[in-house]
Amino acid sequence: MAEPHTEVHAHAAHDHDHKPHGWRRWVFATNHKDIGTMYLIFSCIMFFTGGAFAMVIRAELFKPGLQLVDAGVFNSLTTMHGLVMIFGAIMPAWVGLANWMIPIQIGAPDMALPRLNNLSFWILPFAFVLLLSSWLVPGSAPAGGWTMYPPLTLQFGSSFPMLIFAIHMMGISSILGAINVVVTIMNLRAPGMTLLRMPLFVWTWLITAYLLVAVMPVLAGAVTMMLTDHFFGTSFFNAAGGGDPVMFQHIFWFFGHPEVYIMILPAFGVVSEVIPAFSRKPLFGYEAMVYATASIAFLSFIVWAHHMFTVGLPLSALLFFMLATMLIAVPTGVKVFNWTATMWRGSLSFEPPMLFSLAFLFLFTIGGFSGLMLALVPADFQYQDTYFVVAHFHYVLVSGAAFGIMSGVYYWLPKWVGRMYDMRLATWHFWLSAIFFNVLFFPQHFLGLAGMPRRIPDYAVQFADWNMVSSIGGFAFGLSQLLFPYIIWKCVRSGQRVEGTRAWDGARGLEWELPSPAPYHSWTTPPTEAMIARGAEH
Amino acid sequence: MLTPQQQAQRRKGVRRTTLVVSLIVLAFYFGFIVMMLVRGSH
Repeated sequence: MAEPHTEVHAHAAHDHDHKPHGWRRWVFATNHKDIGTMYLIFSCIMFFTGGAFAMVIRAELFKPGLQLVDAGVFNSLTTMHGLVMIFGAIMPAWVGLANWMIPIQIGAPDMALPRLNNLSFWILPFAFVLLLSSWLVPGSAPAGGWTMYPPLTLQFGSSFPMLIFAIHMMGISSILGAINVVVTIMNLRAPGMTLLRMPLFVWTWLITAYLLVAVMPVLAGAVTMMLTDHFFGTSFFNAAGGGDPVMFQHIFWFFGHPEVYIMILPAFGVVSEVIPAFSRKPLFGYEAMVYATASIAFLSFIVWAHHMFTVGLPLSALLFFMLATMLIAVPTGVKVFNWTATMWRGSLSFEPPMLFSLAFLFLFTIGGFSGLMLALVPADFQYQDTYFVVAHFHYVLVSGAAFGIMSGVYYWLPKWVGRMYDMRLATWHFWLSAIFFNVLFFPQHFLGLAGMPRRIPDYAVQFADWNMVSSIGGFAFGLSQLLFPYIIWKCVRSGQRVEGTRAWDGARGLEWELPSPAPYHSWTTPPTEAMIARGAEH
Repeated sequence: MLTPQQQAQRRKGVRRTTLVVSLIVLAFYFGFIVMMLVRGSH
């Protein structure tokens, strides 16, 4: 599997020097690898926190009636599950992977703005302590859904300003991270690393960073206006004062739909790295993949109202947003076909990164198909606010974003720590995840089509059987995720050492030109043209 | 190693890109609030 490489760059040996030690290394971290590691650990903690909320939700829905929590707490659980998973688990995981991989994939010694990088990480724990401590205040945690629609959200008690401040902090963190990514990629590429030689993960992150720069301030603006409505007597979204609550929905989804792609585009990048590596073939249609990613990002700005077809939009708007949404299937289809074509007649092997990428390919496509169904205005009138929508976005965000993250971690972990993880356990992790993910979420399509509304703690008895199946799938999926940190911990502690630079024989790119583990300071001497050319054989 | 000219060029590029992207962020933040104020005044 490992293929020793003769051109390990010369400075590797002394790069282990000058590494700070103790708590200062982490609190004052400016090294992109340390900050990436902190992001990934933080994301893992949030993944299990949000997962614990989900377990309570599924336990409550195991059978009809109220068993464990009252309706108010149930609403808080669904709200906090969404906020924690999106802003605490998925986004920081991608920023962590970006921090680790972008500099070493473009031949840069670090991120362009290392102190800003430190700040953007350390804002996050405070934001989430604030958000999670809202469980303790009178009135409990926010319960109006992660979308925070007024007027409901404006009616909260003490948790409201905590929510708004936490969202502002998360937004600032994301914006600073995105600025850093854009500045790094645009300025710190090694000589010879042209834009169209960059790995797809770097490309997808560049486009994601532009999305973040454009839409996170919009969310911040929306919640600022809500804050002034609540405390300073303005009426941006208050109908009694001449405001418009539906306008909040427009602004929120102008952020919210690109946000979906912020969570998914880096997964496209990971899959575009993993599938060629385990097919032992260059990626099919590299440039088409870049343009498809850019097209998806552009289209994501003009489809926001498909989240609000039932608010009473004019027919012309319904038609426009329906057609624009369906148009996204074209560049997405280009990607799916290109990944499939990459595998065609390849020398395939099925190690855990490839398994997760393949699951991504199949299951994300199912999420895409249900998305097409939801894009149809007359059909959406029926599906709106049912479990069909819940099934759809979990196929996009769990088997899409979360499986993409797992694929990336399993792909690059040997490079990070210089050790190989327990392949058998990781394969178990994959199969348990893939099977129970479907047991958990596939029945929710049936429940939604049968008319079960989302965000309710109790339901009619005709929905009981599939809810029980879904909950069993949920508990098994949740338990199987405990394998993930265990596999990583075991790998770091006692994994078999990786010989040479490449952990996978089909892997390409500058990161695989570095020794394993990647030195603390890498590419202080820019990579040679030969190294870049080898990595850029698209 | 990069030449001093290349390093200076990089530093300049980093400053310029940071400034431009930060201005875009501020434009989107205040732009949407101003848009709402203008809309509300009609």
